Amino acid sequence: MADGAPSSDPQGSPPSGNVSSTATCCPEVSTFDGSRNPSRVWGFDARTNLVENRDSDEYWIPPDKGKSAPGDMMTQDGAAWVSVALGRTTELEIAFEGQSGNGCLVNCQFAPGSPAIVEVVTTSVASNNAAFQMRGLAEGETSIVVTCDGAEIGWVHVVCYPLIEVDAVVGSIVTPYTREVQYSASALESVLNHTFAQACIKINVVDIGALDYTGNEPFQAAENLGVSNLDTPYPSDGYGDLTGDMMDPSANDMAFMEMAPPLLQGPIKARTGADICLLYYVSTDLPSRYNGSVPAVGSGPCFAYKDFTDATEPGYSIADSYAVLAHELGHAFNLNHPDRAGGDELPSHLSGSTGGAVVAEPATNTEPAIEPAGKPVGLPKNSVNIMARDPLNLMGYWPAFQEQVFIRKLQWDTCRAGALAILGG
Amino acid sequence: MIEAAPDSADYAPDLRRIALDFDPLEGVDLPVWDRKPCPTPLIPEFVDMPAGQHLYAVMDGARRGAVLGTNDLDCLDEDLGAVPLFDTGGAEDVQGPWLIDLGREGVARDRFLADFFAQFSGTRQGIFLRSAADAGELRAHLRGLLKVARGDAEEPRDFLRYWDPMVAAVLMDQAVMRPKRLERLCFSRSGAAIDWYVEEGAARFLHYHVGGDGPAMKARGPVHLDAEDEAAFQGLAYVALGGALAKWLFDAYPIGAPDAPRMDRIGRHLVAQGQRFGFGLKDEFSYLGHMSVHLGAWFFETGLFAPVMAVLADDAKARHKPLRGAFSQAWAGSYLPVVAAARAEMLADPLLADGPFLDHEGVGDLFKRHLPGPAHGDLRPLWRKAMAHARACDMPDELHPAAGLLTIFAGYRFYEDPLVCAGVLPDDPAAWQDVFSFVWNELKGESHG
Repeated sequence: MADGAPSSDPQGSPPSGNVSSTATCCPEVSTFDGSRNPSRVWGFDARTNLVENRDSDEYWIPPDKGKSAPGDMMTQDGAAWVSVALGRTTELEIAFEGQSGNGCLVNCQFAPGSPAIVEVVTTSVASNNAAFQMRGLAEGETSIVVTCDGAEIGWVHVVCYPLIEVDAVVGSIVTPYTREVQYSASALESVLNHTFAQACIKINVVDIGALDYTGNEPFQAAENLGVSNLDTPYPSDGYGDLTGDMMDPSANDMAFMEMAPPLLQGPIKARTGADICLLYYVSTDLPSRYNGSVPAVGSGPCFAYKDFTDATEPGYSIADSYAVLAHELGHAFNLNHPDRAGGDELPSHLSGSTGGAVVAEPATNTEPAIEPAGKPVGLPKNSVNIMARDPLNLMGYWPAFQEQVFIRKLQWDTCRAGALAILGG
Repeated sequence: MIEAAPDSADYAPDLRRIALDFDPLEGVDLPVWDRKPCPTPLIPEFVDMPAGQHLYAVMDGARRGAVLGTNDLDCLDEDLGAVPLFDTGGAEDVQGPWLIDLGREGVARDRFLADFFAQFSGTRQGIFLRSAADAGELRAHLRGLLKVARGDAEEPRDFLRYWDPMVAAVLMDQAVMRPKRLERLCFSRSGAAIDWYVEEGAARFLHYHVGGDGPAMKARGPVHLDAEDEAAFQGLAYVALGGALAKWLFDAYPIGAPDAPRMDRIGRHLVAQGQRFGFGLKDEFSYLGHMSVHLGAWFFETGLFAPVMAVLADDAKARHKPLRGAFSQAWAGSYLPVVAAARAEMLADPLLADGPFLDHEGVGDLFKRHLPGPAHGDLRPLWRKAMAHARACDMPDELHPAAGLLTIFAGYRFYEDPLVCAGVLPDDPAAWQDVFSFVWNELKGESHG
């Protein structure tokens, strides 16, 4: 009998798998990506558990190493997080390596740790890169572990949320200083839902058109406090360096942001029954130094200060303003910029990478590739809120606004709480 | 698909199973150059073959490290023509089965056979085949047998290690009443007959010979294992598991030098006990082995180690997982930490200068000197259990105190624990004395080591 306190793990390489004279043919590893059909995916997050050393520490590298699904679902092993709405289905793509033929794939089994939370719809897979569906059964978190012949070969973490519906209105504030914007409410709704579906939040957008505040004296007083004159050129996305009078919600100690929102959101919500207001406030003269804002994290309305239709730099369009409003709605739902996000919003290995050099990232079915040389971060001032390890995060300042649509597992939780607070308010 | 039941096909092959007994040590005292390539009873089969016939071997590439020389695939590739049956382009091609073309004559062929019978006979290295089919055709034939379909599955998804002699024997025996399967196993696509030679222990080959010419081959389907096959193979699987468990334990733990009888007893013990607990996964059997190394192979009869016993009494699947926590908890809550802490000083105590053969009073004194008072109470149930078994198994009375003493170090029923000693219950006083001395010396060796 061996001496000393024993390890709880057997030593060496003990026999493993099913007791059988036949050796089940099995793949060595299984991995997940979002479906190639984005409309079938709720949230797919390959960043929260991003490994420290890419192409080295992932549970699937090398494919034949021994592996076991971790008890801590935030373990940085490369495993993805997936969201699915209660009672709904989401679709992933499942891939395998190390099998001697596709016939071996049918030996794989897919077991949720808590079958009460999620049901695996795809119970058998016959080809590589196949669609893999699951349905949310109850609110909660669990892991789906892929096993073959008793060995764990891959896993994905799943959170099931009840669907939250938020009613939003979109309109343009028209004053002597600002103009009406020609936007598409349905296109905006599509952009917002593409983003917030990740957290199983559905945004219903109603167009309320132009809101004429020309004769509204209190608002004009607030407006006057929101304009500042800049002597020093200020770089503004889409418009280059600007000087002169421009909309600046930070002017006069944020007096505009204190005075204007109550004059807008309260009456509009009362009139329309909306939960949140999305408002274009676009100057007829010099564009704003900012793209958009909210009065404070956790509250609306969400302002877009540019529609980019008159951008002086190439590559901008009205669609960029939809992305800006999605970012602002993220703020309204309690999400911070990465440099101010706490551990309950972003894991430190992501938020701690702000300002670093963005490195090459391969494309997935759900996210575009980051080019090997690193995409330009746009204006230098923006780099403080670009996470090198998650540059396309909704709450960052990635210069290609329309690529910046991703929120991660902890952000899903945070903005759901924020959305519920807005609904409760 | 190959049907399992006898059918009314026009052609019904007749399988003959011929036992070829030989002396495995024949010629080992002769220089290599004077030895026959194989034992005399096999000469007509492997050397003086009928015209047009070639001899082949099928064996695991993974075993090449163990049988370097005989199965040095790099050399064989040049001299004999060796080709893997797998064709994935991956490492499994090298690790998996290889077809070795031994041809009809030649030095390399003779050396291969001589080495095989001198060193590896009975060690389940592989099987021999004899056929007029060339290596390419035979490889295609054998590749078609690599995967089998099971149960209701139409497609083959499982590898059957038919090149393991134990598996091959079951496969061929199960084919006796299945003409279509016999066709599939014993005739190549062109209709060339294939004789199978499967070792059964170190001194016997089974020769499976199918009479007559083969029919014109139609489409070749996979072998389909039905319920009857599964039952036959399952018993084999547990035998193989026992061997794998024993090999792993000797590799991974300091339990002495491996010898075949001990390995056999360890394997059979763990498999039997694991089956009693209803285990279904190798991982569960392995964990039982891990615990047995630390708690003794008969720990579950002590009435101690409650957390582990609670898991074992459960009928859940994959119990190796909950056993991890339960085992640590059981060990920490048992007498073992106290004994481990006192072990070195106890074994060096002058009372034990002449060995463990104290009387009850001496053992009591030893415990008082080295074990804290509360530990005596913790050890009492184990002591009572050990004394009861000592009486039940006719252990000489004078050894009972020493049995109690050694039990706290080596585990309950250590004298028939194959992880500790030979694992055979002694049947006379001298044998009892021997096993106690062996265990004592092992303990002292560990203590000093």
